[in-house]
Amino acid sequence: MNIIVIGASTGGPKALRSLFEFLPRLDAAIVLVQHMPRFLNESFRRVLAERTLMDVSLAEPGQMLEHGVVFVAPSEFHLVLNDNRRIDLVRGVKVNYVCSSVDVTMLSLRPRGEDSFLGIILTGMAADGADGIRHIKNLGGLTFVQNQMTAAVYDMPHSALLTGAVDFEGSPKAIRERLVEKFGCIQTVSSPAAESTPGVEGG
Amino acid sequence: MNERIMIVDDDPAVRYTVQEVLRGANLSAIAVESGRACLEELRNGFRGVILLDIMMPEMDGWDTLEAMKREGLSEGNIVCMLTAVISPSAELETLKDDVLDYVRKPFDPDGLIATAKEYLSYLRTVPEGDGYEGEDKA
Repeated sequence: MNIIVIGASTGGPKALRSLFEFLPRLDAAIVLVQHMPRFLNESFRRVLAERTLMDVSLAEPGQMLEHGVVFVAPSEFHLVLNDNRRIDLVRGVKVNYVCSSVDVTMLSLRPRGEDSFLGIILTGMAADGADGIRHIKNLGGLTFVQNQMTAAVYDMPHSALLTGAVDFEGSPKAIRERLVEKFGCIQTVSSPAAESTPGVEGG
Repeated sequence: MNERIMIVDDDPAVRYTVQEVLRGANLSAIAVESGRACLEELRNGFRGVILLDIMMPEMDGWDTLEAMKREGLSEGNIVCMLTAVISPSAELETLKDDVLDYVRKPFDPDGLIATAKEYLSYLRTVPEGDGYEGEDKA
């Protein structure tokens, strides 16, 4: 299984809008941790779903990862991957001052068969996700961060960069292009993007 | 209530400019000069996008955010901090879940409008009874 974990905080919704704009149905599962107030979870999911051909789901306990699907971590829970497949939601103490924590999700990944991993850190304050990026690199995965020019707050990408474990730094758009190049697409029956014409945002 | 955006800044020039920029994009906004005035608007029922200056006398942006949380006034609001500094204060670290974006002064008018529209679109799709009431028809 191909597993992508994306972490974002302050400024994340705009970066993610750019990253997900016209994103095809990737041959990979995406787990997305965006620090945000709980009441925005569902509208955040809907806004993302309007941008991409991937299914976008607010993660629920017991869900199994699936290629072509984005699983959004609900606020006030840490999203933990059991055996790289099953989603557990843990209502625990804050880690890096937040719950959901990017690090908690990334650090729950384990070596397993031919699973491949990719970690992405986007705009945000402080250092959540840096330990996770190092972990993903140690698992043999790829690691991307948002560049300073496009990040509303560069601290999180910069902290990840300082681990020395980052493979690529670029705009959300450039990251999207790399994802498509790396994982390719699943054939889809319907094409929501062809039915509507969402605005294009530079990244 | 038509005003769905609140500008909180002690500088009258900033309040005027931001309000005019938003008005040019048919976005209605109220402008207040302090954290205390912001809290008063919230107590009176304002829910929407708050563009909150960090550096204000007496009660700065962080104090205002903490007071919002303490009084249970955060729910239903999207907060974007406004500041001239390049990197936010470490205080933001403890309030990361409460601050969705960070807008630097001086503003790029198009960027400011895009930010306001982006977050108004989030509020439009908040399910009923989940902290936000009303539908934006703008």
